[in-house]
Amino acid sequence: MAVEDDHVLISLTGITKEFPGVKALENVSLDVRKGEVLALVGENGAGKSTLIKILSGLYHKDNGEIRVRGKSVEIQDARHAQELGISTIFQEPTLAPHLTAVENVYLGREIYHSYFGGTVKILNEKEMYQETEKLYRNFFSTVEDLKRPVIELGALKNRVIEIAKALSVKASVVIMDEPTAALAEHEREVLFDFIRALKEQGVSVIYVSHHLKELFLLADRFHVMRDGKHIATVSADETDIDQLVSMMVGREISNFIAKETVPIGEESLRVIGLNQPGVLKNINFHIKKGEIVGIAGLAGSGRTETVRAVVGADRISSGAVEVDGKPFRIQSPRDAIRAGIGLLPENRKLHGALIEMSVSNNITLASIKRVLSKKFVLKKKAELDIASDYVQRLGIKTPTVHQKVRFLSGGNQQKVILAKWLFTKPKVLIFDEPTIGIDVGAKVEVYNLMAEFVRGGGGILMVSSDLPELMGLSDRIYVMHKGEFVHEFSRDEATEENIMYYASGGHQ
Amino acid sequence: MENKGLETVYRENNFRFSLKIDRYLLGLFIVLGAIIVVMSFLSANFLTHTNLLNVLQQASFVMILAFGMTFVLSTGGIDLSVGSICGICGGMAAWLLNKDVNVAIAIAAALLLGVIIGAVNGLTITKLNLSPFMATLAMMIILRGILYVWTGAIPFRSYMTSSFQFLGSGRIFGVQFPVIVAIVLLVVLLILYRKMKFGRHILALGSSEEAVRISGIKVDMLRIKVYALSGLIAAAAGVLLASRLATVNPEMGKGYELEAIAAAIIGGTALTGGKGTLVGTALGAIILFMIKNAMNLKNVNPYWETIVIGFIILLAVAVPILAGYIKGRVKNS
Ligand SMILES: Nc1ncnc2c1ncn2[C@@H]1O[C@H](COP(=O)(O)OP(=O)(O)OP(=O)(O)O)[C@@H](O)[C@H]1O
Ligand SMILES: [Mg+2]
Repeated sequence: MAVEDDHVLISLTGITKEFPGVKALENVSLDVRKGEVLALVGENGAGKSTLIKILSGLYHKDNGEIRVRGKSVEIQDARHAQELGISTIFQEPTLAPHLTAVENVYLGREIYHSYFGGTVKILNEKEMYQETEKLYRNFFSTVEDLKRPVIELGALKNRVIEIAKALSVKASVVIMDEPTAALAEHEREVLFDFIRALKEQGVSVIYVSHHLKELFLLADRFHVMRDGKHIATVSADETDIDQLVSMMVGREISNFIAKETVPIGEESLRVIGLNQPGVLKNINFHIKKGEIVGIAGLAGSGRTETVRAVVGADRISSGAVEVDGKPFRIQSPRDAIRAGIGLLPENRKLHGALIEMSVSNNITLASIKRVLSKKFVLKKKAELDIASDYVQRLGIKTPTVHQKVRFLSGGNQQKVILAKWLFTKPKVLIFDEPTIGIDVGAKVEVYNLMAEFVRGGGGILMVSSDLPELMGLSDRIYVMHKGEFVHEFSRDEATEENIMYYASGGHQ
Repeated sequence: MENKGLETVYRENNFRFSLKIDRYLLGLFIVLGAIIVVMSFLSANFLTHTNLLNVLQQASFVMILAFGMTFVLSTGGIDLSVGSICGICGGMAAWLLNKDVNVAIAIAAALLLGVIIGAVNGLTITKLNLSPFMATLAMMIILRGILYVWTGAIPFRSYMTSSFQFLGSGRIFGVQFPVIVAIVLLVVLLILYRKMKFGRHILALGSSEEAVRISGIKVDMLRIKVYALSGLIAAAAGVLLASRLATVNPEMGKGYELEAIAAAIIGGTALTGGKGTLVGTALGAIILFMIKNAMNLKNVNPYWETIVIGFIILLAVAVPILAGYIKGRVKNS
């Protein structure tokens, strides 16, 4: 490790970090070179975010050395990290919800007008607004949302604001922990262009993602981690997805989605003439028992809105839902659950886990009746067995099932919510982006659990931006464009090209 | 949106930047107007120059405390010790004046004491990790106890000098000095709250501590400053009160913390943090004292006062929730 090498901007040696019951990092070393994109990959709970938080001053390392431009430093807090030229987009949402986009972007480094020789500093709202607008315009064509509290905007817009915030800092290293998880294709491409531009200016980027294909578009080198340890660092030209995966998981797994043939039964869900002014137009579809039905479409085409409308999370102006051939009035997600329809939402942070409760409580929460004996008494053992089973199958990395969900890594939190919905065993399960933020090994297990569910006579509706995943699993695929279902493909007809043709409005 | 032009955007931006009149504030003005109209019919003495100025003067002490409270509440905290700080700092000024200490020094010492007590609040909250409620509750009780011991339960008296008297009873253009102080404080604090870094960071802190920490702001220091500010403001109120009352009894300022919280909540500041308005707080204090005044004029049993004020607080908390609920309903259907 040539520390004197002036190509090396940051060098970590022997970093160790322990949490109660978990060795999150064990003797990890890493070099960041000037102007490179370094991809940090590893399974959920491998220690990627922990490493990043140490570099960003949010956690303090137990052991090891950090050198920035050759100088040994102890990073004290977030301010210190910023001063060292490190700017970070974190995996979890980090905006102050009641502040506006402008206020958030400039939080902690406001621009002032100085009066009385600098003794009174009045915020220069105008300049901060202009600067934010400039950044923002790169992602969106309009600027209408800059003065609204960010809590009123969606997850996606919040993500863009976080990115804008990190990019507005003059940094020599920008760290991104799964920045694209909530992004639409368009913003994703803009972000990639940004990253390439940063590179050209000599800025280094540390990039964490489970989307290996996406990483090959960007990364110069891969830094592979497993169970808190550094496994290998390889140059992007000298490796491929299969090799990375086997280094990440330490065992062979098949990336291939094996589609099981399951007998297709009666119709279990039918949606008729769903309308939501300006959002959804005359949506009709059905799902049969044993079927996995996919919805494809670009971001903003109304996929999430469709599934939310079906379970009564959003109001509709007209439309009807039939379950097992009988009409069912669904006005709230509660009604949907009663009718036997479960939705795994896209935005799991907002609608998902109770982070102060344990893993096992979270998994059994939505179907608490199934772990009750004689109605009221909790079958503690049954609950723990069920939870342990899911923990094992999904590879949820946690010291025990009693651990609070708050202390799990981002991807492992996702898995807990996934387990919760799989355990409810409804008639129809709706998945909105089921595998976002989930590592390769667990993805396969999610697919297996889905297959198991339809084998038992359930029906699945799934929205996914991952086309290979969607095509690999679905029996039929509906394509959405501007709030309408514009085409239906059978499994054999669907190809990436012709799905994209309809999704982008090519048929019109 | 594109052809709307940047000028429009800036104008809107500047509007937001100036007095932020939102619907809730407008509601408060309407409530205030309604009280004035109704009362002017019910009592001939109500709508007089003297009476209205008196209401303002009575409201000014709690209003000043409530300004500090608005800052604290905006961080998601609470400061229950302000009533006691008010008492003990007023006592400090009185005691020093009684010892023939220069007025300016006596006042400065009282204010400094307030800052120190506030900072101690901030330290116990941040360093000992106590909840603001517990830390300031303890401080409230301790300070009150100290004041009893210090005075020996006998009020401080005979400390008045003519210059000190002006603070509580003097008038500028016919307006009582405490009212002037409240107005000046409102303007200064409004700038601090809306147009300076400090206020911005406080609102952010109440909104999400994590966000503030990640933005590289020293969270503990910020909290300590907020409680120190609240202590300073409470001390100022205490000095004014000591001058106004001409005696400092050990009960001085007792219960003011609750009235200050009530004024802030009526004014539209959220107990959960992240949202607050100083203008609303001022209106809240005025409404509170106007109702007291009205009941006084109509010879209502003073015990009823507490009950009525309790209901008003309930109403103030319920209105935004109901409004949000109705709005959500309309939007969804
Ligand atoms: N504050 C904490 N307290 C206790 N354990 C923690 C804490 N933060 C992280 N961990 C544990 O440390 C390990 C590493 O977590 P980390 O968040 O770094 O994983 P990750 O590689 O980012 O995973 P993911 O891909 O799911 O985001 C996990 O086992 C996690 O449960
Ligand atoms: Mg992570």
